[in-house]
Amino acid sequence: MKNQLFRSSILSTALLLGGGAAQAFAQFAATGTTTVSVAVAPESAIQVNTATTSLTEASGPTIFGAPFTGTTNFAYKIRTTKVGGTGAITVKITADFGAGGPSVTTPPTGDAMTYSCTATSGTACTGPITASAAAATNVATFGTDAHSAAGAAASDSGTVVWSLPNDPIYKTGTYTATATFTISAT
Amino acid sequence: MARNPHKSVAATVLLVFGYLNLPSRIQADTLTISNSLNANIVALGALSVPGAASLTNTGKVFNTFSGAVSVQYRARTSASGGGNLTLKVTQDFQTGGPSVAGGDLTYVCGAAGLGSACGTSTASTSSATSVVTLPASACTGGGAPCSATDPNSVVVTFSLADRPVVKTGTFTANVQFTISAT
Repeated sequence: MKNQLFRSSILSTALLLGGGAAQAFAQFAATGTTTVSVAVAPESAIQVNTATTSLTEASGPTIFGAPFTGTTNFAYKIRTTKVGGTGAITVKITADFGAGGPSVTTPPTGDAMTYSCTATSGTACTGPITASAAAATNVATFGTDAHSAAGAAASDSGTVVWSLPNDPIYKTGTYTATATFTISAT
Repeated sequence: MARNPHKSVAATVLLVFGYLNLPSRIQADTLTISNSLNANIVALGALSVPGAASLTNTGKVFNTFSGAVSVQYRARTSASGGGNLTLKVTQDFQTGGPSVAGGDLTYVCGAAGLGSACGTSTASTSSATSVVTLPASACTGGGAPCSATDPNSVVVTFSLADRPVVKTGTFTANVQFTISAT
């Protein structure tokens, strides 16, 4: 009885091994097909092309009548969800000008830095918009199923034109602030 | 016509008796029989691929999607022959999605267990493109002069351009691998 069980067990094992080997090679054929799938999600990316934007007096120095102005160029890619998606480009002053100079956080009366926008897709902001160090402010918005230019390497572009009043109260010197652009898509 | 039961029993007894006494009647002898065994070994190829593969990307900033498929194959080529393992996209991604016909899907091969692996290639819906080229007298498994492993394998890594113009959603394409040997 024991022997019979033993033989039976060996036979079953051999059958199992044989079955496994057959199964491992069962899928071999002259052709085989793989279904490749990709889940495409809403995405967005931005590149600021003007690393340093110099604000200069349009009418030349010593006039005071014209504000300091300068243009920041950026490129972006965006894809929003085909039903119910949205997108936005915003800007926030993450580092204000230094002491004695202009201020975004607490500007002298009438000295707020403002900007206007352009964008090749979406809806660009209509200036002047007051820049803020406390909250991100609008540069452009996008609706459902929005797509920037075709092509893996292609992108859309936009600008922010800054305007900073030239107040005699500012001390002479060079002042810098940091503007951080953010793009998002849902 | 009724059979005679006595006759039948007698015949059976004689047969049994004859069988039991057979060894004593066999004389020692050697009998040689020649027989020709012909095996027609032909060139062959077979492969196995996973049924599905996912292409993924990191971040949400239009990085390229990528994914790998391990192709297992077995082959035997003749002394004057060779072979090919190819792929062809037999069904492109759906409308609104990426486009193989538009050149969005490329692939590159890892080291091939047998034969020469492809470099970076663009997948096509209109023609088969190379994955592995098999030389003459190539064979899978058993060690030299064949490969050491059985089956052989090659990893095909796909790259899919993530273009902003593509709509959101899940898209699929069918990639058919084919092996041939001569």
